Amino acid sequence: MSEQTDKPSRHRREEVLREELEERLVFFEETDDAAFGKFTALDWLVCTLLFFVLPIVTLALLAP
Amino acid sequence: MREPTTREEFVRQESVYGRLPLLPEEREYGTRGAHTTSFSYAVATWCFLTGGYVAQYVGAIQGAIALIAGSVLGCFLTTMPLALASQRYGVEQIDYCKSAFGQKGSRILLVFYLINQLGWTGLILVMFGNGIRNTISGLGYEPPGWIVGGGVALGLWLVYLLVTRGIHLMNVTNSWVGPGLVVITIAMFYLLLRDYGWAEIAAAEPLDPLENKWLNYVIVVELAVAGGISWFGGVGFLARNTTTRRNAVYPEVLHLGLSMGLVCCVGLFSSLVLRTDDPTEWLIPIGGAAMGLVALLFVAVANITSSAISVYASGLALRHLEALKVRPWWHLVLWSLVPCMPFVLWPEELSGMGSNFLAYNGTLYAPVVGVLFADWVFVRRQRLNIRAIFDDGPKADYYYTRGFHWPALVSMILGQAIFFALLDPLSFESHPLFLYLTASIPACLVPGIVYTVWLKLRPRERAAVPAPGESLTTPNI
Repeated sequence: MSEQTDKPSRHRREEVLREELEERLVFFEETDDAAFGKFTALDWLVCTLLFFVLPIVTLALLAP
Repeated sequence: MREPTTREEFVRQESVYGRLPLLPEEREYGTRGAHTTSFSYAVATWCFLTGGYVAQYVGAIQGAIALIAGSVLGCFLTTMPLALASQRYGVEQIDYCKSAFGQKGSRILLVFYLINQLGWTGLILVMFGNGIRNTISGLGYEPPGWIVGGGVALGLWLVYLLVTRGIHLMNVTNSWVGPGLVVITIAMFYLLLRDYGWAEIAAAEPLDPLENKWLNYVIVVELAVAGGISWFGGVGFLARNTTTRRNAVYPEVLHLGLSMGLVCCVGLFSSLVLRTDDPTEWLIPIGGAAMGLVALLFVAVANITSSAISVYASGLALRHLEALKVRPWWHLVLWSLVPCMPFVLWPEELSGMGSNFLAYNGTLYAPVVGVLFADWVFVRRQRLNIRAIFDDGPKADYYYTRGFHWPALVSMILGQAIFFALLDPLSFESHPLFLYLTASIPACLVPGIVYTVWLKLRPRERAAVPAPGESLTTPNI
């Protein structure tokens, strides 16, 4: 793993990367959404109202 | 960063500095980390710069409304798809964009991304150079003419040192730079109010406004929305490192949008009363010689940490280029810094185009963000085929037509055409409709609607390729 441009080493790196990638893809496919924390419909509603609707209303109402 | 000697070290480096999806246990940001890092990233010196640009057009009250509301709005649009997807799948944001734009189409976004990241880095490092010049002046010496360019070169070197020593050092630095900037911002605001009073700040005239007051206001709204949207470059990188989805979204919108807007206001107020849009020129007059110098030095350090995050994100993005895929991390960092070299040679000229650069970010990103939002929320219903992101095979889901997803690309081009029809980001000449619509908002919403309708009318009805658990046909990592 010490020399980037060395062909056998590079080949080995790519092999390790692919193996690791496959393992991680399986993890992300099989793991439930809950493991990454909740973001519910209520979160969407709060974010949309506070960060989208409210700024537009403010910009329109408080314009010169 | 030393060369890995074991498989574990190598894998760790490839996930933190490469494109391997980041596992939950490898992520650095819990709630506190997400807030402090987002805050440090947001409350950077670009806020002071943006405040200075806005002071050209409007006064304190209109500017504050436009800056806060506009940047929250822009930040919301860019954060929702990028943060949620990057956090859920641990992927870097250009990888995520493949789902909407295709394996090769996403490389077009890579160009936009690098322009954005490196443009900001250059502007901030010019401010670093200006800070050095004004520190020397503040100490009673005459700075030489080359000092700003020299400061940019010094800044590039410091950024290189910081980024090549890893994300942990950047986190440690941010953990004290962030709170320090809060103290400085609050102190500056307090001193402004004490020395000038709110009435004087509120009554201060803009530095160089256009004749039409309404147009001045909408240009500032546009700059603020574009500033919020231009977080495209940092959102996925931060979210990928967070432990929960709420940690990916709320700290980013609150700090990259709201906190940024608030700190921009301090820059705006200072510029208005001191009649200069260069933040490094007002720290000493406001803070006095001693405190002003300390603040100036601290802001200079903060410039380096902000730039380091941009360069770190750019280095990661360069992993998408075949020629750089397997190069050591320090090579990528160097390549990220090379495009900033013109700022060493022409610092004043390039930093003078800062407000045009800010508006240009809206041109680049608003349509992209519209398509990504529509794709994530309305088309894919917040689900990706993560396997297809890493499969370059012609039959893979995200390979589309020879690597390009035309509905996304056509929608994006349409959005850019709409932007240019409404506002020329270089001259600020505008269409009458710009006064009511801005340019970034329609340039974001219309492509999103067109993309959604297009895919609803002509959905791609095919099985997921590669299917979950199936081997990649042409791995792209």
